[in-house]
Amino acid sequence: MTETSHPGASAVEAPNTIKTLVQWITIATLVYLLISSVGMIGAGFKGATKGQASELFQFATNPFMGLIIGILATAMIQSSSTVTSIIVGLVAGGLPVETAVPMIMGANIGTTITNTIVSLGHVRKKKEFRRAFASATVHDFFNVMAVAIFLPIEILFHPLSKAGGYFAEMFVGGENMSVKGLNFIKPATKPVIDLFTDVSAMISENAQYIILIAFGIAVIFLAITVIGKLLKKLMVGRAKVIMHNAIGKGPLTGIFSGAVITVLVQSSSTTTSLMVPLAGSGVFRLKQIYPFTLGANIGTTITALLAATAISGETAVFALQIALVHLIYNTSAVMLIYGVKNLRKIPIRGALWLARVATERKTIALLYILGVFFALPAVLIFITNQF
Amino acid sequence: MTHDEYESLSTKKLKKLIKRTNATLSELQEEMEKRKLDNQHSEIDHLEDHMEEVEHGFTNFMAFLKDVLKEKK
Repeated sequence: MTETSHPGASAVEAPNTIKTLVQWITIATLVYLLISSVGMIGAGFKGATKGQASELFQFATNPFMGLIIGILATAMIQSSSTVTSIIVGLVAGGLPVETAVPMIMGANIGTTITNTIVSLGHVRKKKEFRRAFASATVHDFFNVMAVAIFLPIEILFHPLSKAGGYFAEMFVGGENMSVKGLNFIKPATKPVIDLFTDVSAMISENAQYIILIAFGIAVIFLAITVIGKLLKKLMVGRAKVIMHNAIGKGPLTGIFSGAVITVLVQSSSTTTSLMVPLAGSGVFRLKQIYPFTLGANIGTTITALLAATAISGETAVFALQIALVHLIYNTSAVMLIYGVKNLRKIPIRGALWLARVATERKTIALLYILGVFFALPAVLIFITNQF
Repeated sequence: MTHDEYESLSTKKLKKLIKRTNATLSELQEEMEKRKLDNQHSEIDHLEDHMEEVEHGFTNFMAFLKDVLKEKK
C-alpha cells in the first residue's frame, strides 16, 4: 500500500518549520545575551570594587556564609544556572575562587526546592504523594550529603579549587588569555557590554557599575528563563527518545541520560521535576529515578562553563576555574556517593523516611521546605555573624 | 495438588514437575517485567503533559498550603 500525504500537510508543516526556526534563532540570540551579561557582571563588579572585590566579599570568606548565600539565592530565584552564571561573572570581576566554591555548593542545594514544590502537586493522593515527595527529596539528601563530605575537605585541602585551577590553566592561555579556540567571543560580546555600560552611565555616573551588574543579573535571569521555556518545547521529543532508550538499562545509563537531558533543556530543575510525576504514578521506582537526578547535577554544570567562555583577560582563568570546580564537584560527588554502596543508600533511606512522615503529617513537608531552604540558612547567618 | 499427592509421585515425576514449574515461573516473571517496561514506555509517551505539570509550581504550593491548613483544623 502506498502512502499518500494529506494535501494540507505541507501547508501546516511550513508555518511549524518557520516557528521552530524562529525559536532556535531566539535561543541563539539569548545565549549570546547570556554570555554578554556574564561579561557585564564581570566588568561591573571590577569597576564597582576597583580591584578590591575580595574586601567587598569579606563577609563571605566564611565558607558557611558562602554556602548559605548560594542556597538562599538559588531557592529564591529557583534557578541554579542563573546563580552559577552570576558567580562566574563575579569571579571574573575579582571575587576569589575560594570564596565562590561554597556558593556553588549552596546553589546545588538551593535548586532542589523546585522539584520538591512540584511534588506538592500530588498532595491529594496519599500514596502518590509519598512516592513523588521521596523522588524529589532524594535529590535534597544527596546534595546535602555531598556538601557535608566535600565542603570540610575543600576547606582543609582545597582539592576542588586545585583541580579546577589545573584544568583551567590547561584550557586558558595564549596572548589574550581567553578560552583557547574561543578568542572571538570578546569582540563579539563587546558591543552589547559597551551599550549597557553607556546606558548605565547615562542613568547614573556614580552608580554606573552597580547598574551594569543589575542589568547583567536581569539579562541572565531573563535569558535562562526564556531559553529553558523554549528548550522544553523543542527538546521534549529528544528527551523522550533518550528516556525510552534508557529504560531497562543500568544506573550508569540513567546518570548519562539525566545529564544529556539537562544539557538539552539547560535546567537541572526541569529534569529532576520531570522525574516527580513519573515516580508519583508508581510506574518508576525511586531506585530508577535516583540516577537520572544525579545526571542532572552533572548536566547543569554546562551553563557555568558556557558562561566562562565569555570572559577574557587576566581573570578568564579564574572564571573557567570556578566553572570547572562546579563540574568536578558534581562529578566527584556522584562517583563517591553513588559509587560506594553504603553511601548510595543513605539518600534513598532518608527520602523514603521523610516522605513517610510527611504523608502522615503534611505540616512536616511544609516545615521541611521552609526550614531547609529559608529558616535554617537565616539562623546560620545569624549565628555566623555572632561569632 | 495436595502434599499427600506429592508424596505418591515418583522422584522422576517430581523432578519433571519442578522443571516445568520453574519454566512457567520464568515465563511469568518475564511477562511481568515486560508489562513493567511497557508501562514505563507508555508513561514516557506522556512526557509533554509532565512538562506542563512542572510549570504549575506556585499553584501546587497554594493547593498544598490549603491542604495543610485543612489538616490543622
